[in-house]
Parts: sequence; C-alpha cells; structure tokens
Amino acid sequence: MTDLEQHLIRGCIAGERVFQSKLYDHFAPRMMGVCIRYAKSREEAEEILLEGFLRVFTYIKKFRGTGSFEGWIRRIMVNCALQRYRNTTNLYAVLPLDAGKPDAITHPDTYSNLGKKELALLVQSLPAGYRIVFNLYVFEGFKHHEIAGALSISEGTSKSNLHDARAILQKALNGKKNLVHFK
Amino acid sequence: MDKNLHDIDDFFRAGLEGNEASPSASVKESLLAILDKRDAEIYRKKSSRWKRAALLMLFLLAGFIIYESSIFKIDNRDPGQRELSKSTVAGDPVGDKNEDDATPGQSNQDKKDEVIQKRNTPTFESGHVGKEKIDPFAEVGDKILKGNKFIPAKPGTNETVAERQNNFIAKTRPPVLQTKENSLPATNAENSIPDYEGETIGSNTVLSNKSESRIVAGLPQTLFPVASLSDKKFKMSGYMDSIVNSDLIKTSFTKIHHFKPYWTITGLAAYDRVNYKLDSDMPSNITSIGHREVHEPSYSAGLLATRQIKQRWGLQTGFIYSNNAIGISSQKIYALQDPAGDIAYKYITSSGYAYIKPGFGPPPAFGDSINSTEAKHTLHSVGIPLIVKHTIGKNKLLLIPGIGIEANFITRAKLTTEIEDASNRETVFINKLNGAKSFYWSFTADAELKYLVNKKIAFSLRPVFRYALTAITDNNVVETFPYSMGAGLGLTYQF
Repeated sequence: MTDLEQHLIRGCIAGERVFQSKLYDHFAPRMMGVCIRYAKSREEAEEILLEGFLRVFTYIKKFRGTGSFEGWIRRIMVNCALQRYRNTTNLYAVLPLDAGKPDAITHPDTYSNLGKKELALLVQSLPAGYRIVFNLYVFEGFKHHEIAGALSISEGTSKSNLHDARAILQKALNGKKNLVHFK
Repeated sequence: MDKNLHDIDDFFRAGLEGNEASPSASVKESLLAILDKRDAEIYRKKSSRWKRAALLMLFLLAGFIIYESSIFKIDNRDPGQRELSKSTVAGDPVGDKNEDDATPGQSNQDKKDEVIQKRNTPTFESGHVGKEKIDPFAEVGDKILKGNKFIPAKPGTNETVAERQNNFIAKTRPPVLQTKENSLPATNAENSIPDYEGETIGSNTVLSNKSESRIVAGLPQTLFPVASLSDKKFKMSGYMDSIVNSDLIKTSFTKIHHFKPYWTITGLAAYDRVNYKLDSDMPSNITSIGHREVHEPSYSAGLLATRQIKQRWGLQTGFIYSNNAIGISSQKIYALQDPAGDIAYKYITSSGYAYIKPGFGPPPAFGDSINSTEAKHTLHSVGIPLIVKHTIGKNKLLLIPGIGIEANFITRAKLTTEIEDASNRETVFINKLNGAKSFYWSFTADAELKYLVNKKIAFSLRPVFRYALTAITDNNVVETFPYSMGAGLGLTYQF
C-alpha cells in the first residue's frame, strides 16, 4: 500500500469529503472496468460502481491494511455485482445453443485487433448467469465450488454455465451466429 | 476443443485485465450527495442522542438536589402537630403569654381550647418546621438550664426547685391533650389528676401517673402533654425531678444537631500527568501517533465551590483550567488537498490536524512530502465539574472522596514545529487544529484530604483522576480519549 493510499484511507476514515473525492477519482476508472464486465450495460455498471463506493466509504474503517487496497475495493465491487444479480435474476441458460461443439478459435492473435471495449461488449452480451460465472472463474480466479457457494448453485451448474459462456464467446469471436450486441 | 476454450479464457483475461473506463460525472455527484445526506443523518442522530443524555443528567441532578435539600422536605405530621411546632418555635406555646394577643371577646381559655381542638393526636414530637428542626427541650435548656442548674426562684415565692421546674415546663411545653370537653379519660375529681394508668399515649405507655410511676419507653415528652393547660391539674413534680435529671433529657440535648447548609470555596493548583487512549480501525495510526507523541508534565488550577447540603454530603462545582503539554518527534508529512482546495502538507496529531504551507520553495504537489522537526503541542481547556462529595471523619482531618462528571471546553490548541527541506528551514506556529472538538465530557473522581486549621480555613491535598467519556477529536485519523492523574494543593474557606 502506497503512502498516498494510506493518506487517502485516513482521510476517508475521518469522513473528509476531499479525501473521499480523491479516492473515488483514483480508483473509479479501474473499478468501472470491473463493473462493466459484470453488468449488461454501462448504466447498470455505473449503478454497481456507485453502490460499491458507498460500501467502500462505509466499511473503510474495517480495512486492516494487510493486503492490497485496490484488491479490497475490487472485491467490494464484485460483491455488489453478485448481490445485484442475486436480487434480479437466476442462473439458468436463456439463450438457445447449438448442440454441436463450438467452432475452434483459430488463434487469439487473430483477434488482437479487437479493442478492450469490444471485448467488454462481448462479455456483456452473455446472459446474466453465464456472465457472472465467466467473470468469477476467469477474472477473479474462483473455483467452481466457490462460485457455487457464492451464487447458491451447484458445481455442475457452474461448470455448465462456464462451458456455455465460453462457447458463446467463441462463436462470437468467430463471427458466427448467436452473437448478441448490447450498445 | 478444451484447449481452444481455455485459450478464450486467457484471451479475455489478457484483453480485459486492468481495463479502465471513465464513469460519467453524474456518478460522482450522486455519490457525494448520498454521502452528504448520510453524514447529515448521522449528525442529527448524534445530536439527538446528546440532547437526550443531557436532559437525563439534568433531571437526575435536579432530582438529587431536591431530594437532598430540606427546603422541599415534606412534613408528614398532621396539621395539629405542625401548628403546635410553629408556636413552639416562636417561643409562644399556647399558654399564659398569649393573653395579651387574644382577640377581643375571646378569652384566653377559649383561644387555648380552639387551638387545642385542632389537634388530632395527643402526642408531641420534635420535627421539622420549614428548614429548622425543632426540639422543645432545646428551648427549655436554652432558657432555664445552664450547666444543669435552674434559674433562681422569683423573689417572694416559696417554690421549690421541683415546682419551679414543673411550672416552667408546664408553661413552655406546649400542651397536646384535650381540655375538659374533649374525650380524654375521666379525671379524678379528688386530686384532679387524670387517670391514665394503662393508657397508651403516642407510642408510650403510662403505667401510673398517680404514684411513683415510670415511663416505659420514649422520651419524657409524652408525659408533658398529659398536663392540662387550664388548671394545671396534672401533678408532675414526682416525675419531673427524675425526668429532668435523667439521662433521657441529657441524651436529647446531645443528640440533636441543627445542621445548616453552607458554602465553601476552594482554590487549588495541581500537577497532572496526562495520557490518552487512542482508538482507530487502523492499528498503524494508533501505533505511529503513539510512538511519535510523548506527554509532558502538565498543570491545572481552578476555583471550586462546594455546597454542603448535609453534614456528610456536598455538591461541588466551579472551573478548572488545564494546560496539557505534548512533545511530538520529527516526522515526514505529506501534501494533500485541504478543505479550501489548495494543496498543503498535512500535520497530524492525536488531537487534530493542520495544513502547513511552507513559505519557501515551489508550491507542493499532491503526494509531495517534507520533514518536520520536533514539535511542542499544548492543549488548553477549561473544565466545569459537578462532583458529589462525601465527608468521612470528625476531627480536624477529613477525607472527602467525590465522583462526578466534568464538562470540558478546549479553549486553545497550539502547535509549534519546524519544517525543512534540503536547503530551507521554517518555524511554523499553528493556533488552530482541524478535527478537534471544542467540547468533551469526562468522568472525574478525587479523594480530598482536608486539614481544618480553624472553623473557616482548611488546607487540602487533592489527588484527582479524570477520564474522557467522549473523544476530543472529530474527523481525525484517531479518536482520542485523554485521561490524567493529578495531585493538587488547595486552600478552602468556609462561609
């Protein structure tokens, strides 16, 4: 944890608005990048971000300073996204999938010209359940049993959702059918 | 297939890890607005809590004062007894002395009967009238007894000592029992002595009032009312010799204390050792401040007024000025944005913080650091205690422990330090700290050892302990609860 982060944390614990504003400015872009992956739209991502920062300022006194502060904030954002998801949807597949195996991805380099924004849009295009499981597995490093515990589903469902998410993304990357764009 | 799928994982992880996106400005505005609203709510709740606590304290204090004060003490006696006591206080027992004051057309006997008829019980008790505790015997003693000797007989009379004694008491002692018209037991027509044998009068029993009688229990006051006013038929000489000279009367003289509340003023000066308890959710803050700051000897002085409500109980208040000194070791301070929006170095102490803008070098940028040398920090405060005191001891040496609360007003927080970089050095004076409250409550307990030089002057040694009940900081990195142990010397004057 840097000295700057320490000072920001102290100021936020003291409830000083200046420090809270600075902390937000410092971490908001990175956290927005996280929230976008979990949301189906930019507006929803901003709602998650707002709720997440409110929790950060509420519980910042509980941050013990033992690990990465950014990691702590990120975890709060993910939890907010999960909470939101649990309150609104369920984790069953909503898109019809081709029965056959997905088309093979030729090579990632083939898509290197795709920007982060396009990739984020691809993830956003996933059905909610697939998106959450994919994010938790790929970006947060959760195991299937952890995902199952976090989302109150079975491990099998988690594996199935992950498999389907990968298949959809692979198809989308290959420019095949069932690609859904959300703008 | 699996390999391709995992390639997708890596592909997205590599592509989106560390992805940044700028949220719209409305998010920040909403966030700050919600935080403001939440703070206002917290402040409102906190304020409401303090108001309730203050009201509760006020009620408790008022209740205590009312309870302890004899002004509002309820006289539980019946109206007849109260009137009787009043007349006794005025040195005007219903008797011969009132003859001149009788209203026209009303005989003295009528007046006596009228007053007597108002009485409901045939007992006489010492008690309270207004503020004063009345004892009929004391009055008798003041007037006619001096060193257990009666006043001399009037010239030209042949009264024996016993007769004078009886006559005097019969005159001064207020009658309680009835006149002839009332329902007392029938009098003995032969010797005009009412036959009270076996009767219960008040809480006492007269075994016999005709011969060598004894009073079973209680003070002899029970016997006095038996005397009839109008004709003084009751023959008491046999009893009075024994009664007046008995231990019972002597006991009644010595047992009664006429305590009057009084004020004392104490001027004191004390040497204090101050420390504090720090509280924070970040242990590193507590550790760093705790290591950096060292409390130095402090002092306090004040003037305390004590209202001695009862012989053993008193209430003390006044004001105490305290000067607490803290030494702060050198440290590195960082530049942050101050509330005005400028970038300045933030100097943090246990009792607040301040922003420092050095007069040398370029203006600091956010995150810049600079060294500060050792600093001297002083806190000035005025405390108004409210302490309940209890006096132990009887002679010249008294121990008076007390506990109470103290309202403390921080009047000034001063900090002096130097900041320096590679080529410059500047002395900085800070006279106001942010994040410091101007008021806090503390618990206080003392054990005053008082030596009475005479009735008016006393010296005292006063060890005292204070502990803050509320933090002296607000919006600081730590919550600070100061406490102190002090030893003071005082000089007391009693009014």
